[in-house]
Amino acid sequence: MSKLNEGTRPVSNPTPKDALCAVVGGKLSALVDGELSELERLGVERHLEACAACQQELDDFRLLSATLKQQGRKIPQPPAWQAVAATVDARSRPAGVLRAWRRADFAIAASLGAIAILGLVAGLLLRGQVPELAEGRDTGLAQVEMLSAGLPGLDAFLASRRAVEVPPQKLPENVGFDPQILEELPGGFQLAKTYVVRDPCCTGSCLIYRRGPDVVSLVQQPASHPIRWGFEALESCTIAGRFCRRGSDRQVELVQIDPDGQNLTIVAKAGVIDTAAFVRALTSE
Amino acid sequence: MRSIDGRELSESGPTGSAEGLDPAEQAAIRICQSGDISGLETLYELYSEKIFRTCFRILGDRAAAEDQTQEVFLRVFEQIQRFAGRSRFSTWLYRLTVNLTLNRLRSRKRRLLKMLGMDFLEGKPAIEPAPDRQVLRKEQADTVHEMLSGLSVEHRTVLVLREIEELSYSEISEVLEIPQGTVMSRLHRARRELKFCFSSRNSEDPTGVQIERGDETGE
Repeated sequence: MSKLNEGTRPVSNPTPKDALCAVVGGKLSALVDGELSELERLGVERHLEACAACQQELDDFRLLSATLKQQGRKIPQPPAWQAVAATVDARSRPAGVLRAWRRADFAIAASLGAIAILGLVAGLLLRGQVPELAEGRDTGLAQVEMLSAGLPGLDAFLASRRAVEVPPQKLPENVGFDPQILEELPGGFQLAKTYVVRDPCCTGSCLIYRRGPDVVSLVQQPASHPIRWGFEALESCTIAGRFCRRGSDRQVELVQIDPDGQNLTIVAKAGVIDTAAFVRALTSE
Repeated sequence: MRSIDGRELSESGPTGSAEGLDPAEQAAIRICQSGDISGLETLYELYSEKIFRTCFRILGDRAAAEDQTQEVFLRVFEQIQRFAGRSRFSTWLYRLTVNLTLNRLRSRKRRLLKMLGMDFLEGKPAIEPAPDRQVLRKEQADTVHEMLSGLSVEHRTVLVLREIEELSYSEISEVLEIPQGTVMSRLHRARRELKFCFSSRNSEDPTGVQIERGDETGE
């Protein structure tokens, strides 16, 4: 084992040799990479024969380069294609509609557009406007507008729900899906169900609180992504039964956590939560 | 094509030729351009490892790299219509990857500064977002992670492209949209910074990562 040599070059009273070292030194990296012309290479090599400092630097560069090359390629496996396909599938649909429009399939595109507009108007009238996601904000309380269909347990649980407004509040730190779950939210909402939403790349939690017929949901960042905050994690992950639809074995599981936060019980496999819709539907303000 | 910074992503350059393209790759690009996701699947098989590796080494965070890889291929699917074949597909793909990844780091930095109440520092380049501490602890044994984590993003990126992805100076020049001379000088500065960081770290922590110098002992 050996450590790399720290700078050994003279720094004061530069001599002509130092000036030459400075010129040649700038080419050592390209020499390591084989990117010098023949003429340049010969010139540098001639200097190296007489300059121990430059030779040492070249050796160090080669050592670092070899280490990066050898070990830099040892990485985990990239995500499975199914995860990417699901993301593309989910996010490319609007583009598909546009393409259909551009291809002059006017009737289909017009119908789709009309349905979308009617849906939007109906949605706005019935539920109030769904605000844009706030980026990078703190974990907050949320208003449940909808949870996508397809999870029998969750659907049944939410069958009698109605949306309620809860003012945004700062929650204590350490609110996670592991043992620090809040049993009660301000306003008398009691913890009713706790879900973990898992996909191949991360884990998030969805806590359902009830107060009579009112339901609120709290979505939290995955513990495995401490740098992320709130909604971004869910937004950036693909959490959906789309994996299942494509026959992948890496399907999403919905998991109920025991009160101690330790034991997980799978309550639904092949769960379908349309992540984008799910996230859009949750807002704190 | 427009980068996430709003700059045009040109396809011209020294390696601006589609010659020597793998027929499977060419076919996959055409299929993908027709809007068929199966073309993207082939491109994913061909390039996912390289792209994931690039993201992983620049971001230093496995989960983020997984997300980023998905994001890159989503963008490929959205923007591949604009790939006209004047440059190598791999160069185009690396450029997209680097642009998106650097943008992610900038966004991460903005968020961190905001969280820390230091948004007034935004725009000041001196502070680089440190890789995820938890991940750092987890991957302490990863020598390369150790080596790269102390570098500036600019130097880390150019080293990843050269040393790990083994791109030529000409290709790096196209990917980063800088002259080849700048590639050479940037790589030189990156290696010197790497050497400096490494020497400092080893002198501070004798138990820290050291590199095998097998040639000295004749091994």
